[in-house]
Amino acid sequence: MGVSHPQNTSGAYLASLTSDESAYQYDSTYNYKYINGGASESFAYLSDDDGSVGLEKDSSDGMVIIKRIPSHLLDTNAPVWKNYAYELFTVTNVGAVYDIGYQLYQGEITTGEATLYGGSGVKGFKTFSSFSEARKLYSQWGKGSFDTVKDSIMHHANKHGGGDVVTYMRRASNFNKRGAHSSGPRDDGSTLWERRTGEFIEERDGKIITYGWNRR
Amino acid sequence: MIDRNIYETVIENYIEQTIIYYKRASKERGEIHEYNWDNDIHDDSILFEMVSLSSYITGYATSAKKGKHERFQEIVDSLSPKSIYNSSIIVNWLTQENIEQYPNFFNYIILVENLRILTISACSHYLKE
Repeated sequence: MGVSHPQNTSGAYLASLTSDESAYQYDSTYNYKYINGGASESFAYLSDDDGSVGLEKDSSDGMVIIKRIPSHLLDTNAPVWKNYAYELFTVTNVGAVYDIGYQLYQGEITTGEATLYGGSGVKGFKTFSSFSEARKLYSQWGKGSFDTVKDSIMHHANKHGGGDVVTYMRRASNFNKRGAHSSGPRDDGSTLWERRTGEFIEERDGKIITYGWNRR
Repeated sequence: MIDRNIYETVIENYIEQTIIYYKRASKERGEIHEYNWDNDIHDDSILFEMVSLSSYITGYATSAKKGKHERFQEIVDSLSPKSIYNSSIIVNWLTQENIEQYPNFFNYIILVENLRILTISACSHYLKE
């Protein structure tokens, strides 16, 4: 790999994120300390001092989930997990988990890339119920003609869901195809389903391209 | 010579406007859906056609806005054949009656087409730089 990282006490790679202000402009309070993982591992994670996991990476689609503690929401009496917001990062050109730490450390993830959800100013602050839910919902989407899956989700959630990304993704995931009309495979490989209620979903290669509803 | 920042700003404005017009046409879209459903119009639905087309065009427009050079030619090639006027479903829908009955949805359709043209123009311009 040619990139040296310091190692924490457990022997895993680690890198400080706090020196990279350019990548994180929303909150100045970050409790994640380490990027753990290695090239041979299937995922990476970022941990706090207490060992709780703060970042995961799904190597299949370049997704990285970060959770952090927004300072304005910090409640020291609440369970740790309740103090975390979840964000989805899309990291491009990542060949291996080892490189995630390198890229984060180098600040190659911009603020724009870093904010899917949970940033300041987000109306109706909500989080996914867990990392696994975020991963599951995210993995159901395709990027279509967008650069990234995250771009596609953000656009369609804004257009059809009023910007409430989590609720929008949950609704899309729960679309009931039973009793819905299907277009069958179209020329571009997509299939559209719609229900009498006006709710519709478009998929291509088993991935959601868009979801919404047409109703009075 | 048009500055790249200008193109990016205009593309962003157009994308925002398509969302505004889409929402503005909410009631009309509901009416169209009900009419289509009651008359068993599904595969030739103007709503289906625009859902696919607008997502396709906006995805490339969003990419062009970011200025990623490696996709400019792909964007031009992909969007060039995707005019609304190449879709029989859309062209057949553009009757005087529909335009008058659904003015907001008509405006949305035209705006999506303009976003396509704008994105092609911007990327073509970038490629000559």
